[in-house]
Amino acid sequence: MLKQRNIELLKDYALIAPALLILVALVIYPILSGIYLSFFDYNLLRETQPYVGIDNYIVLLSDPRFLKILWNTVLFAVLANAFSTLLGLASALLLNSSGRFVGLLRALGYLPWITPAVVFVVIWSWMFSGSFSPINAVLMQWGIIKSPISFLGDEKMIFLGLSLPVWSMLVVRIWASYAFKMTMFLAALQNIPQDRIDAARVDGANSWHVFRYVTMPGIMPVLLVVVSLSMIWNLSHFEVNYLLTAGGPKDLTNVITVYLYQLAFVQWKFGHAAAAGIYTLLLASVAAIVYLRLTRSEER
Amino acid sequence: MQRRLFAIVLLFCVAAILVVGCAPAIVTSETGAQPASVGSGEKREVFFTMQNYADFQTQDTLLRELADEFKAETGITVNYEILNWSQAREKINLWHVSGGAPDVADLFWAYTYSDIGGGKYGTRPIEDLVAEYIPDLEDRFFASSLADVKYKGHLYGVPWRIGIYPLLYRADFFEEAGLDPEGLQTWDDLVEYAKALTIRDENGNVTRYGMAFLPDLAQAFYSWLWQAGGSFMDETYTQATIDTPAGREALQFIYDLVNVHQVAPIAQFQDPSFDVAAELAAGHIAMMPAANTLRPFIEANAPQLKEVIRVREPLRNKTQDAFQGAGYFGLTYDTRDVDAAMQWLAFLARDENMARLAIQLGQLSPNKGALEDPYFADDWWFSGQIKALPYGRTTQHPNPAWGSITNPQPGSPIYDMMIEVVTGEKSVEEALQETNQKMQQMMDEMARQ
Amino acid sequence: MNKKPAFSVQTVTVKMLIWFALLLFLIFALFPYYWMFVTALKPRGEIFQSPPTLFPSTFVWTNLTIPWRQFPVAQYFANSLFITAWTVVLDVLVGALAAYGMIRRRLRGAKLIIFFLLFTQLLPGAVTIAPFYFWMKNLGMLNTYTGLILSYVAWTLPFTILLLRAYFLEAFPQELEDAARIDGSGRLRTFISVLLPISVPGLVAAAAFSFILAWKEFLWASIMITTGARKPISVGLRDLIGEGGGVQYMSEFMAIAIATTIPAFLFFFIVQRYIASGLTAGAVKG
Repeated sequence: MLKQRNIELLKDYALIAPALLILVALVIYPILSGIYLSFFDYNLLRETQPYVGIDNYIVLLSDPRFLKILWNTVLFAVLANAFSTLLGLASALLLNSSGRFVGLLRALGYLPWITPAVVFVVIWSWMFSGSFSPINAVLMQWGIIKSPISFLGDEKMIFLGLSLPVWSMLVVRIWASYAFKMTMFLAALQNIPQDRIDAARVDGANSWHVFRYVTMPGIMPVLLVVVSLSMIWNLSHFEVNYLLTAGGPKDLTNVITVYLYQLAFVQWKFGHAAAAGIYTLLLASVAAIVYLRLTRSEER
Repeated sequence: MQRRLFAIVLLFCVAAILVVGCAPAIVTSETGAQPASVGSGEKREVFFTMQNYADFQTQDTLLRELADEFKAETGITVNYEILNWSQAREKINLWHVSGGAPDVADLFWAYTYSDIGGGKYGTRPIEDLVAEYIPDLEDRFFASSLADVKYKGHLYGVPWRIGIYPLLYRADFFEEAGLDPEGLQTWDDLVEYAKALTIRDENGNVTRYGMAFLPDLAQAFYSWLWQAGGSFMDETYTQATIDTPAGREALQFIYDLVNVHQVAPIAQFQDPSFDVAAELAAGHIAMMPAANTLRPFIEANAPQLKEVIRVREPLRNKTQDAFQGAGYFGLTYDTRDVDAAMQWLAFLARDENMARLAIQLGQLSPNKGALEDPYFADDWWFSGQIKALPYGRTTQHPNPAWGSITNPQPGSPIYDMMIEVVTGEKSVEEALQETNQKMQQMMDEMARQ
Repeated sequence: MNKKPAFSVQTVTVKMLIWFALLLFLIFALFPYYWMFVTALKPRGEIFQSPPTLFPSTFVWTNLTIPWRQFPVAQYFANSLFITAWTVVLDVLVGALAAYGMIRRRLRGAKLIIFFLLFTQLLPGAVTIAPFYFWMKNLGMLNTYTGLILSYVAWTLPFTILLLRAYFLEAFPQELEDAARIDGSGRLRTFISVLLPISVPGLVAAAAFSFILAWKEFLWASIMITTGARKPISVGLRDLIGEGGGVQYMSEFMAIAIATTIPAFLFFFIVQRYIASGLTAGAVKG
């Protein structure tokens, strides 16, 4: 009997095996070699690659530039995540009806999600340029500003403690990431039984009350999971920061992934780059633990 | 409903796979896609790569023609690929450390890495082979371009394009301001001219800058340093030498152009979205170094400016050196059939083929015979560049660290230095001292084998 | 909101506010696309005019077709479609199998596998590019469709499995499985004839996610694929970027960018209804 059970179990695992095989070969192996690399002074341009223990980690932590970039990483991840969640929620609420054109509008709302970064970064960089920005052109024409705004360059312009280039970068990060959340929230919203909303209305609840006491609780679990999952992705976000500014001006928009790409492919210090990557891994682990906590309560 | 959708999605996927399954049949960049079975002997092949120049179709057609002619002559098949510039550096460096390189490749300064790979990977010295296959190389190519492919007495390739960055100016702006281009010779002249050419609107915004710098902010430092009489490294290429009076003069001059005379855009050092080529196209810039990449940009996006942009010899201070770098075709240690590769190289190195490559891909040829083609003397851009050829100074520094030192990205010493100084974050003296130290450290690290 | 209260000032104000918010949102989301269109359609000399024209002085419609002759755009599209289609099919198939395996009788170690799946998301891709490149080289998969498709499948799998597992948990209760077993169906039979048909929305949602990754990924593809005949469009677009790293053919770039957006948009327009229902039933709760 026990033997039979084991065979059954083995057959269950056989279903998972292809996925595990692919993941181990193509994701886990490179990750492990990344971790391995981080203990070596691994410079691709040299023949010898001495073992240095945790030196790479110490060198990074004692570099003020790295600490600043580490802080940027967290800052961008938190703010981009928060704002894109708000925008995703707002747009989902706006588009959660069944009008005639809603399908089209939703599909248009998805656009930023499906556009390759190579494309939209060129366009956004144009939006932000001093001489060619349509935003500047309009503002100047209306006489609101006298000189063009340098959206990605004017570090002296500060709003709420953050400089203009940081805000500009955030705008693009939000633009590029809200659509995923919008999708998730739309799904969650459609999950809320209509009769609960109707019942609340019959009880005399106004729109705000419906939102506060029916809608919010309905999407809360999804929201928490989406936020923690997207936190993991945000911490290791690379494309927008790299393509739009490469971390400039003066490291204001530099994040760990961009920094480690530069360490690896500009300075060829793969050991340092790997160590920087491990720090990201540690940061993301915090978000992962939150995620696991949240999902545990959902288990049956 | 759901079953129907399932069927549709499945059908879509299957259809896509089927339609595209024969994808490579639509266009193929491999000549010999119809493998002409050579009657005798085994099939010989050369795998050749080149970065993208001009538009894809032009380059593809040219390479196909060359490969076909070569095949007719020798029976050797050339398979070629066009690599994107955007990843070429990563790609070429990966070849140098792990192999996997093509038989013949379009390279640039990669020979500085030839010390790496221990004779297993990377660029292969070919002076002996060249003596056999292309014995008249030294006579047919400009000596200055050959200096770009020589290192420690070895020869690493055949140069096919040469970039020289003298001075570019807007003839119409000069005329408008009543300035004589011939009267512009020294750095002092430059300041006067640039002031006269800079225009501000009623709000004080600069609508035209007299001067701007090279798009690559690390390379932007080269010519100024050399013209001030300085250099990056000593003759042995082991000591960094930019923390010198010449270095200080050059860096101070750049700082002054932007901050004291205010004739050059500070945005170039501050704003990642600043695109100097676009500014030139918009008529915001009167003078700047004539970077190679500007020519195709203007031709594609602002062709009307071909009438008014002129290229002339470089400025003079202590020297009159201008940025020069050659791109070359080289062999690697991955080259399988060396004889076939060398035959292909010799074929490409013929004067007429050098001319075809340069003209169709919009590059200046380092080949003397090719340069006799009237195309170059008549071209709006090359006519000026040819006159500047005698002033070219090689940008190649045979030290493995050079690529990292001069990379135009944050974290690279020269790029960082330019930004820190011009934006006023550090003083000229402080920045130069630090940069010199960083350079030295990087060079020492590479030497520590 | 299906039973509207009687016409009142309050509801009109709320309606107008909603429309205003929607308008703002659409401007933010779509203005970059407007700019893409007008840039593609401007005459040559006007593209880099400063200050820019918000509306082209004349529409040059031929700009949209020129790049198709100058660059092998059709080839790149075919490649992208091919790579994307295979990625989606493999990802959903392997992912669904694994998710099915994980929900069966509350498989021991399922928790561990979830942790493992999460772990794969933690290290930024940029760290592993070089080891991954050497690894792919050793496997002989550089410059092949297979290598690229497998990489994409590997990157999308964790999310697909998490999503489908949750969907299956809801859509495929224990009783249904027990019933299937009593009928004498084997695992694969149950999977194909019972589970898949009732899970179409979930599968479509998962497919949409992997479609997006495969359609727009460029960093890895650009290092791994160099053969023109195999480049996907996201890498092919970089043919228009020159030696200095800037876009050299701006009008052509925008024209191809428009063409890149359209198929993805159509795909989403068709499947968007199902994505929402595919994520229902707590599918995103993990």
